[in-house]
Amino acid sequence: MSARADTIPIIDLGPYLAGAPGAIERTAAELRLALTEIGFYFIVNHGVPDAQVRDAFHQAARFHAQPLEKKMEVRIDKHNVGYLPMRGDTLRTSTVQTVTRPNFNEALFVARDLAGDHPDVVANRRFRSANRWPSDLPGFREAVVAYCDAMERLAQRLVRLYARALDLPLAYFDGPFGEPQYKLRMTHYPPQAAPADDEFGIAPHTDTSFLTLLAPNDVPGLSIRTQGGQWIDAPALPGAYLVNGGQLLQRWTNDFCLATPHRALNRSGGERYALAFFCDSTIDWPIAAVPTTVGPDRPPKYPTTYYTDYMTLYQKRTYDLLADADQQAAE
Amino acid sequence: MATETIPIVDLGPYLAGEPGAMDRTAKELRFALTEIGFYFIVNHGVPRELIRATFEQVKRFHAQPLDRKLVLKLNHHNTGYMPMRGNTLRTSTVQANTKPNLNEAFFIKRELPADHPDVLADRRFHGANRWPADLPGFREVILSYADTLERLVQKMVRLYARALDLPAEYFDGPFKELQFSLRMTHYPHQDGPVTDEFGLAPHTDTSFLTLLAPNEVPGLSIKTQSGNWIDAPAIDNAYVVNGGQMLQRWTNDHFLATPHRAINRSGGERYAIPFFCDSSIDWPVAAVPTTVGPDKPPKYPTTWYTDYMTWYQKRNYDVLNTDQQAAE
Repeated sequence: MSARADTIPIIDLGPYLAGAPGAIERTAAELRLALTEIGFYFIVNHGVPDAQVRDAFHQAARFHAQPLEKKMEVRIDKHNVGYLPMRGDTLRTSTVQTVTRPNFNEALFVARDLAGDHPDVVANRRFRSANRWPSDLPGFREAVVAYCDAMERLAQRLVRLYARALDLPLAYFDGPFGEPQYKLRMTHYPPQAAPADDEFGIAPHTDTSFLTLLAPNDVPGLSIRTQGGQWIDAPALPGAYLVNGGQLLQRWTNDFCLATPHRALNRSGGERYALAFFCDSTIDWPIAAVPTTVGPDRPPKYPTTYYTDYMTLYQKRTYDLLADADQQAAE
Repeated sequence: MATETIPIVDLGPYLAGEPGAMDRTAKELRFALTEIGFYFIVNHGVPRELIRATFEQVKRFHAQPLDRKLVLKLNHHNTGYMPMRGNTLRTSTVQANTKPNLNEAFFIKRELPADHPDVLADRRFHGANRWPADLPGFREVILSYADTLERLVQKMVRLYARALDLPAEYFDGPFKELQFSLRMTHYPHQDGPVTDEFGLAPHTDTSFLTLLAPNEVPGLSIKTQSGNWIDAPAIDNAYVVNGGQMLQRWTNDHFLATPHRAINRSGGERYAIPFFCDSSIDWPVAAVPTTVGPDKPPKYPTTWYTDYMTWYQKRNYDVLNTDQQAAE
């Protein structure tokens, strides 16, 4: 393991996004190092306008400033969209440490904005519902959908780098990520001056996602655990997204890429908001190790799975908020 | 249970977009590919006139004097003309073949422009085609036929995806710019039977799928799972389709690559036009997710078309010297 494994690398997407000759391979090599040595990286020159990021944070603050009963009107459902109140989940599935206390945050979850007459919505297909929007926040929905669109386009560009980082054809993930399954989590962490030992804003865990895009944040709070076992704080790098892989990336790569444990604790003294965009392949695409990570002597470590099956199992264990069988939830 | 007859799959409802037709047809395909490895397709949408015109061009090509054909002698891209007895199927796992095949054939691949980067780089199996100089109209008809078959394959791979319990679009990426080889074969009449001399000796194809054009002159036999050799009947306007070694690799041996052979005892000339089709040259060839798991590891290492075909052709094609081995 290299010395770099104790710092989160910064990857400049500018040349790749501009189509500079050789930039794809160069950037993919940096990505590969990040995904195999530390599991987190920053991206700069990612093409998402500052104003759009600021606006998305503003919308998150607006949402959470509403009275609790307004937020509870869009309470989280079995599709994992809607509002998760403070202490609504406990990360029992964490393989990082034993977690018994619920997370000290509240969050609104938004998925792809499917039309009310979409066949999956009509069929009440799990994780393919209509979003649940607040009724009294004009402009909220438009701004949040636009932000999700920007994240989706960025993820679709990133997966081409993932393909090259895995020695696959550039277009390898274009099919699986043609209509990625995603969830935007708009989180509010109140300040925690003196937290108990195992009380966190978000307890140590790994994500489930293929990739997570965490919006640039002026207020620090995230820590990650390096392969050496140390917890390090992610610096607040102006304008830089923080990206990491999760359990489904491990499955796609037969554990070649890392899913690095992380946690959040807001000791800033003020409110903290975070915007995490969790991105996976199209809901029907099988999730299995890509060809360059398996062979007769290197069998797949995981059985082939599907987003719905995996998330159903995961959420049953994590979300105790809603007792009703049809109302377990979130990420 | 294995079957001793080649099933007939009607593509009409699927190609017309009828509700439910995709999954119904995919099921028939799955049966064919797991039980016998060959099937006929009818209502495939390839115009009868185009097939007829293509056979005409193949006859025209082979009617040329040998020296005209040898101008286009097969090269390391496996495009061009392979003379009679130009290859021996030593890689056959079906039987030990020592005598060369009694056929002559002309091969083309996707038509790439002369300034295509792969052509300029002389990238193996991505070279320019070689066309006869004195056959006006030949190139146009053959390319039109190849384009038509390419579009048909791109529709068929959606059935393969469903037959493997994969999303219908699963193979769209790998087959977007698929790698193909069109073989235009002439089998002269063979009185036979000479022991182990065939028009084409028993072998399995290398391809993901092979589309053999409807043929009025019989000659193809296939070996069923029980070990019997059966003759493929001549069914009016039906293509014969089969899988090869690459299909086995893509499916971890879930689908068959069935041995077959050809002998022309018709008393006249026989022409055959197989279209061998594989995924894009850069796509990794490995078992799809529904055919592997921790308890079902991949049987084959991941490979690529170029590596696999380079190995395969080195063993089979003795017609041309070391830097000019070739064909399928």
